[in-house]
Amino acid sequence: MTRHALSLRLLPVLALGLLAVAGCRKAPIETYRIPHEGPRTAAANDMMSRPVPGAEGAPDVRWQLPTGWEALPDQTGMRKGSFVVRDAGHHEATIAVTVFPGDVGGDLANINRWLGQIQQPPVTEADLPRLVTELDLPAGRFKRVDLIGAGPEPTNSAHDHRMRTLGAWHAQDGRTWFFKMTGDSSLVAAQARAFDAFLASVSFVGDAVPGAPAALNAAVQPAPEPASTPAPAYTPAAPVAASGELTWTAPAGWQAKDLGPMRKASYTVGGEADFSVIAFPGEAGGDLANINRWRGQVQLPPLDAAQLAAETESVAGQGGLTFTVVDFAGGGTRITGAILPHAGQSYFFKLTGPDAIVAAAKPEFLAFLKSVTAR
Amino acid sequence: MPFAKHPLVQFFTSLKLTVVLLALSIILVFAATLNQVHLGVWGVQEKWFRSFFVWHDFNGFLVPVFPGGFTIGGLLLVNLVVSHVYRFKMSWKKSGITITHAGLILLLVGELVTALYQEDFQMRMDEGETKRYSESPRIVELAITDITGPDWDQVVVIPPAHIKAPGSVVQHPELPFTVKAHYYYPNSALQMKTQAPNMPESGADKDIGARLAVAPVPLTYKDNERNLPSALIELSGPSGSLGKWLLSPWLIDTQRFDYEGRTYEMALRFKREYKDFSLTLLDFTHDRYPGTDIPKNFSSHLRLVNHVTGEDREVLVYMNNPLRYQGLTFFQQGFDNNDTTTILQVVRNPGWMLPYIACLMLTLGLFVQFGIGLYAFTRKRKARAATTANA
Repeated sequence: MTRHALSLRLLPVLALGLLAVAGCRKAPIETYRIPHEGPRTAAANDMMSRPVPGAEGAPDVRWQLPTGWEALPDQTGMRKGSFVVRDAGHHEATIAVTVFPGDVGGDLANINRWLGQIQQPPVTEADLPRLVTELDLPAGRFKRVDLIGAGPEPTNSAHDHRMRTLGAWHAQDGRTWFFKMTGDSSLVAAQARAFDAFLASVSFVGDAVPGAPAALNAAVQPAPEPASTPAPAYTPAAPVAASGELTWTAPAGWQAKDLGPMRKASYTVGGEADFSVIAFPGEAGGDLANINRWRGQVQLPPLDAAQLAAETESVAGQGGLTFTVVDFAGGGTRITGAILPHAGQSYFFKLTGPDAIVAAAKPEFLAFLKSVTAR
Repeated sequence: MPFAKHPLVQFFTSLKLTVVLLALSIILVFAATLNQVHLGVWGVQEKWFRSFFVWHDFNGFLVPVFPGGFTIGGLLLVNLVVSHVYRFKMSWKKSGITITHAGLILLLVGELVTALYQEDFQMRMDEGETKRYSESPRIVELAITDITGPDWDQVVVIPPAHIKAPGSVVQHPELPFTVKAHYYYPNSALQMKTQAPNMPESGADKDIGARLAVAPVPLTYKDNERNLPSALIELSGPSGSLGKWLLSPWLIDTQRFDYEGRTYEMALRFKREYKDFSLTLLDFTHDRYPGTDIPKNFSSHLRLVNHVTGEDREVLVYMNNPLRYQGLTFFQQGFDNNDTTTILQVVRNPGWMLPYIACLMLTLGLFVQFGIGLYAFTRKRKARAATTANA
C-alpha cells in the first residue's frame, strides 16, 4: 500500500475526529449592532418594581380587594393585577387588570375579542348600546359588559357551567385600563357585586380624582355567598418555585402576595402578619444559628446549644417529614417558625407579625405544616 | 504490516463491535426512558444522549457509569465508515446493502448535526408588543451594550464558558475595559441583604447588586424549571477597577454605567437571536370547548415586517400550522397572562431534511437488495426448470 493510498483511507477517520473537536469548541464571543429598542427608562433596578412595557408612565393603581379574592403572583408585562376567586364546588373565576397604550382597537374590537374567547359570534356597532353599561365611579367613567358564553342554558336551579365574562374598561390619558373577570357563569354572577365594588374602589395614584369619596379605603362589602356554598377550608397553594421538592396548601383567608426572588410561598395572614417559605441549600448555618437570627429579630437574647432543645418542639408532618418548630415573642412581635431539612435543602417556614395575630394564627400555621408533602 | 491488518483498524471494522454497540444503544434508550420520569425530556437528552458519558453522583463524586449517546453513536458511525473502507467490497450484488448503510450513516450524521446545530428558542410577546429577537429558554449570555449612539446599539455577547472559571478575564477589541468574573453560579438564589442576614453578600459595589445576597443552588433539569445563574463581574480600565456588578437573569432591568463618555448597559440574560424582521402580536385567541376549560385551539395573529425587503403582512400561527420563515419555524407553544401573552417556539434545524433522506435511502437500499435477491432467485428457478424440461 502506498503512503498516498494510506492517507486517503485515513480521511474519513480524520474528518470525524475534526467534527467531534468542532462540536466541543468553546462558543466564541460575538458582536453585533441592533437598532434602539423602544424608549429608554431610567435604570431604576428595584426587584420589587417591574416595568410595564407599552404602559410606561401609567400611574400606579390602587384598589380594595373583596373578601375571598386571592392575589396571584404574576404581575408581569401589561398586567397590573391578577386574582382568583373560587367557590365550594372548586369552580373558579379569574380577574385580570391590564393596561394598554391607546384604545386597543376600540370598544367593538375589545368586546368582540372577549366574545371570541367564550365562543360567541362577534357583534356589530349597532349592538353596543344594548351591551354596554356606563358607570360613573370615583376614578372616572367606566364602561362595563356582561357576556355569557356558548352552551346549553341550565334548567331550573342547576349550576350554570357556561363561561361568563364581566369586563370593564376605563380610558385615561391615552391608555386604557381593562378589568376582566372570567369564569364559570354561576360563580361570576355571584361575584358580580364584588366586581362592581372592586371597580368602585379603584383609584389612580398621582391622578387627581375630583369628588372621590373620603372613605375610599373603607372595607368593601363582598357579594353575599349563597348559604349552600361555604368557603372551602383550603385553597390550592401557590406553585412551588424552582428547585422546590415540596407542595402544600394554604389555609383559607391567607392572602397570597408577590413571591419576590427567594420566597417559595408568601402570604398575608390576618391582615398584618407575614408568612413566608424560603429554602437554602444545605444546612444554611444550622438550626441554632437560624433560630438565634429569628430571636434577634424580636430583640430576644441568643440561645446556646444546651437551651435549644427546651425552646423547640418537633412536629411530625406527612410522609415522615419532621419540622423543628419554635414560637417566641418580644417587643410586641411574635415569630412562629419551623425548619425542615429536605432533599439537601433547608426550608424555613416563618410567620411573623403582631403578637396577638400570630398567636391566633398558630393553629393555621401548624395546619399548613401538616399539609406539606414531598413530591 | 498492511494498514488494514493494524489492530486499531481490525477493532473498528469488527462485527463484534457493531453488535456490542447496538446492545449498548438498546440499554441506553431503555435506561434513559425510565430516567425521564425524574429528569424530563431535556434533562434526559443532555444526560444520556448528548454526552460522551453518563455521569452519576455518588456522594458528591461524579462517576461515569455508562457510555453516552455521542460515544455510542460516534463509534457506530466510525465502525460503519471504516468497515466500508477496509472490509466491504463494492459489487453490484451488494449495492442495496451499500445504499442502506449510506442511509444509516446519514441518519447518524443527521442526529449529530441536530445535536450540534439545532436551535430551539422562544418568542414571548404580550398583545400589542413587537419583538425582533427570540430567546433561548436555557442558554444564557453576558451582554454588554454600548447605547451611546442615537440610532444603533453595539452589543458584545460573551458566552458563560468564558467567565465560568473564577478569576477568568475577557478582553475584547470592542470593549475599552477588561471583564473579570469573580464567580459564576450556574444556578443561584438572590435575596435582599436585609431580608437574609446569614446569606453570603454578593460582593458587588455597584447598582442593585450592592444590596443583594447570593447563594448557589443545585442545577435543575426539569422541563418546567430553569437554571437562573448569577455572576460577579468586575470591569477594569487602564486606571484601575470601575466597580463590581452582580449580574443575573433574576434581575429584570439591565444595569447602566458611563465610561469615557459612553453609556453602557450590562446584563446576564437568556441568549438572544436578533432577526432582520419583527413580529407584532396583534391578537391571541384561546378557544375552549363550550362549557369547559378544555382548550380547543390557540392561535396568534401576528404582523410580520421585514426591515430589509419591506415585506409587511399578517400571519396566523396555530396548532399544527407554524410559520416557516427564513429557515426558522415558529410553532404555537403556549400562552400566559390570561390569554394576552403568546409563547412561540422558534426552531432552526439545518439538518431537518437529513432523517427524511436517510429513511428514503434505507427503504431504497432494502428494495434494491431484495430485488437483486428476487431476480437471482427467479433466474435460478427458470434455469432449473429449463434443465428439468431438457432432461
